Amino acid sequence: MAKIRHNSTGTEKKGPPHAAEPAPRPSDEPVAGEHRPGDPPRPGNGVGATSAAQVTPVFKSFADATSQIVMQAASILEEEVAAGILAAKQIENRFIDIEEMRSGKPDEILQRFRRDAHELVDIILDIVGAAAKNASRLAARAISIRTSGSIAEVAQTPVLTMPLPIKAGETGEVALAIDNDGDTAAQPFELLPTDLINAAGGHIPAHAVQFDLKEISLAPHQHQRVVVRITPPAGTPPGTYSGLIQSNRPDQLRAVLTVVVA
Amino acid sequence: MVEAGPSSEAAHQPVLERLRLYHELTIQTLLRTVPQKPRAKYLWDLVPSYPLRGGKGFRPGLCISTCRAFGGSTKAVLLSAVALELFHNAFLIHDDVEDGSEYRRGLPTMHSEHGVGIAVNVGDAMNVLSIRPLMENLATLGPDLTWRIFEEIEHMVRESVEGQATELGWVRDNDCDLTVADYLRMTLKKTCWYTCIHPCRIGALIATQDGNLGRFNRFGYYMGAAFQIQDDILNLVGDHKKYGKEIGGDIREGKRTVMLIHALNESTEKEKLRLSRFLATPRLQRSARDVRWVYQVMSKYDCIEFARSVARQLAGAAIFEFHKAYRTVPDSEDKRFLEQIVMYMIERDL
Repeated sequence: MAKIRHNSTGTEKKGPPHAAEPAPRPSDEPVAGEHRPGDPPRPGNGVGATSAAQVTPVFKSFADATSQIVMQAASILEEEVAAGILAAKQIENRFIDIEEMRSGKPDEILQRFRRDAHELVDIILDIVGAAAKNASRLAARAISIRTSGSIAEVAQTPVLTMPLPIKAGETGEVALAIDNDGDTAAQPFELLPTDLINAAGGHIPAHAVQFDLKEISLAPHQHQRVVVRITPPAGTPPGTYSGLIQSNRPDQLRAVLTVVVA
Repeated sequence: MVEAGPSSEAAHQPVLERLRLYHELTIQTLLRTVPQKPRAKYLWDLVPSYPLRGGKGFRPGLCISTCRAFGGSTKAVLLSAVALELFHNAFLIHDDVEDGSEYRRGLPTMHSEHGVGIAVNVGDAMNVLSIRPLMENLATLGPDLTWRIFEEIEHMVRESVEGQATELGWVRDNDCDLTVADYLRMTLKKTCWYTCIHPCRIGALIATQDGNLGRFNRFGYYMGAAFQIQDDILNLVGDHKKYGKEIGGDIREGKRTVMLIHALNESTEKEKLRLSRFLATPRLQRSARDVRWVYQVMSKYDCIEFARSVARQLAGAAIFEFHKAYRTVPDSEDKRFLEQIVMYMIERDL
């Protein structure tokens, strides 16, 4: 089983906005409203900063509970930053290919390319890990995804890997299981795929990913099997491609989907 | 209900003074970027119109104060602040055309006074002008930093137009099934990146050259969203003389504010149907009576108080994130200003 590591350097390298930013990580990035030892003074607790006392009455109720609105906003921001990272990385890779190739330093470029590719994967995994953990704070998660392909856990986000490489134009499939461990029925929801990308900037469009179930309903303690089919378009260059499968539920149930195109 | 703090202008005087200081400095420099050509009519003579109408100067204020808080100089950041202000004013001109607004900062909008064609062209000109100060950064900041600022600006503008497209699309398609989460995403893209997040990021970038810019994302987002919601509230209950736009204009435009979204979600089927019909009516055919009725529905479901509550929660979160984002910098007037401006954002009346 592949071990997946988090980007733990906490540094930001040069690049397009958000391209190289570590995503807010659960371990060191509490969302406002959630206080941890060593945190800066929370608005309203009257400790530390000179002006904290001035805002005490304003936020006295805020300080007592984590705000659903703020948690929702934090999740939206993480999603948008993640989308920016993917787009920016693709642009950056094009710069590497074109501009620096012309400068006549192919070995240096290749090294940088490899480094960026690894960082890209780390960043994506950091983000999905953080998003999953934040989502779990919104409410006790009753529903989870289990994969029947190879599994690697990144925080609470499963990685769903196609068991065998697929040739461009052909279809591969893998099953995942969705469990409702709660005592209440889950509202019907859909699974939505994103584009899959590889380190060279190539991509497989989202519409190449299909599910055998359009809408998923789960009774209490019910398990549902969903088959994921992917057909990389003819001409898709060989490589390892990754993207997200995400539900349209408020807690944004999600998994990383990885496929090797032979 | 959360208790409100002091709301008088006097309570926010230190914030207002610093905003004014940085805004004036920015506008003076901005005006020097406007070409002085003999044939300036219909274009360059109109460029100063919006910048000279006042405005609050949040963007240059956040950018300059963040740079200074992190040990940078006003001189180093000024050209970038000018670019932000030019982009902002270009957005405003185009936004007024797109929304069909009549007033901006107490005066007729550019297109009301000079026609849509000229207004759009003046907005275009201001977008072009904003590139020049960014290019001039090269001489003082060097190629690497200059390029990184360009990258920040490129992302900022792209997000803003995407957010604007979302909002315009909601109105065009008469989308009545929106949630507060939809609003938060739209306002992140349309308002927050360019009003708060990138000004702070750019200021810190110039001061530190290689700072951890991600720390400003949440701070700027929460503050910007609170700012936008307060702006929408003022459009309903503000003083026209202070606010400078037509009160209730957002209802007439069918703008999807937190108040309208809450009203749509809370209203009865019959009320929602009438709201939907009102929003489907071409703007010029929406009567004052119907606008008043929409306002009554909003009152019935405490939509303004709901929006205020959302804004306060976001402002509280912004102050929390402020302490994380700026914890490494020593106390200074600029740092205090940055903390205090959050409360001003939700308590302002203009």
